[in-house]
Amino acid sequence: MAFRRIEARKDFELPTFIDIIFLLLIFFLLTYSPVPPKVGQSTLELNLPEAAGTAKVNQNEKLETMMIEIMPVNKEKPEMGLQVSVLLPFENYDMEKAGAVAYKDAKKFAKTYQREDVLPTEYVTLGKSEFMNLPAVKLINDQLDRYVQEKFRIAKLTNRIEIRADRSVSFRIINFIIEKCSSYEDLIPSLVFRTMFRQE
Amino acid sequence: MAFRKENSTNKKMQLISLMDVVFILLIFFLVSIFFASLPNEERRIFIPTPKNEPGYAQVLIQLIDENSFLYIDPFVTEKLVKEITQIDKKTFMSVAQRLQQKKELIITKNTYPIISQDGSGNFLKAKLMTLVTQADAHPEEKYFAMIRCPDELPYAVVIDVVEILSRTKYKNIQYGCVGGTIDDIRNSKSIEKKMVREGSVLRRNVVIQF
Repeated sequence: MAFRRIEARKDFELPTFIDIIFLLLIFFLLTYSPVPPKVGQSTLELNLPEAAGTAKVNQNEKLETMMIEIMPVNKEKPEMGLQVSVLLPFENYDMEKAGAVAYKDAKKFAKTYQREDVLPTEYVTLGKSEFMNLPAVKLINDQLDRYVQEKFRIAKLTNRIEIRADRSVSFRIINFIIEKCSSYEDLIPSLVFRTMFRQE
Repeated sequence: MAFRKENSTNKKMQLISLMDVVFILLIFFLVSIFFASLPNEERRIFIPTPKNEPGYAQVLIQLIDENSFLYIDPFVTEKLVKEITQIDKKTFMSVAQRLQQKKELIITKNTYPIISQDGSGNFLKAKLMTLVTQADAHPEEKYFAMIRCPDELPYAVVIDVVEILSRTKYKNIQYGCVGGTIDDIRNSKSIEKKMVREGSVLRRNVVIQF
């Protein structure tokens, strides 16, 4: 007995295809965030988005030295100011243990031992004395003094302070840290900036 | 007269045209999502702490605002020698006035937009890359670039400059960062070229006396 050959339907299913295309289109429309062009930027140049300051930090990375972290309190609301945290490679000065602490623990200890403060947005326009009296600036000042006193008694090339800051942070606070470290002369020969860059 | 009824059979949606538009939109979003999601990385940039001593540099980069910068190298006065001589001839002006005119001339002639007006790209980056290429071609030479930045600018502008300068093969460009505005340079005592002997090398420096 001869088998009956069943012809497969070879029609292109256009409505199904359109459904998929529309779903993809809606997805991209919803997830797309346009980047506004900068003033003076060439219209011919591809306007790539700026690198964001919030990097994915390796939470388990062991800190090698003091890290001053300056990040917006709320990225969506810049008027809330900047969160300044002083992260130490140990729990606290009087509780040093063998081995450096991880970034996530250092963040926790900064909170516990009140090595955190908020820098108001108007810090850029303040006079020198008002700026120096800001609690966050005092915190950096005092913590640097103490850290250098305890850890950098001898001038070494390896003595350094790390700064991790959002790319939008104004130069004033960074310049204050540079000048402060410069005042220790050879005790702090260099600073390390951890900054976001686009991969090339 | 009776109006002619519009033929209702031509009201079909033009599916092919719609598909064309939808496809173009889809391709645009697919491509733009790719660019937006290029991974960023956190890098470590080393910056030496500035020394508290009278500073001179081979190159001075003063960031003015987010759109312009001043770039002074030791060849600036050589390039402007005609104009400077003209100012020196103005004997009816006081020494201070002539000095001020010279400073203004140097500032005006060496201020550039960060993004060039003709749309050819990032002018600051191009200038820095020229310096990097020069440093790579002369590994025996040492260069020192001083980067000055006003308080209100994002510090990332400075870091981007440092990042380019740190690309030298032989690490023979040293750099330092300090705070300061263009007005400090405008109000400085002098901007001049100074020859300094370092070992067997005679080096041209830019010296700004504040």
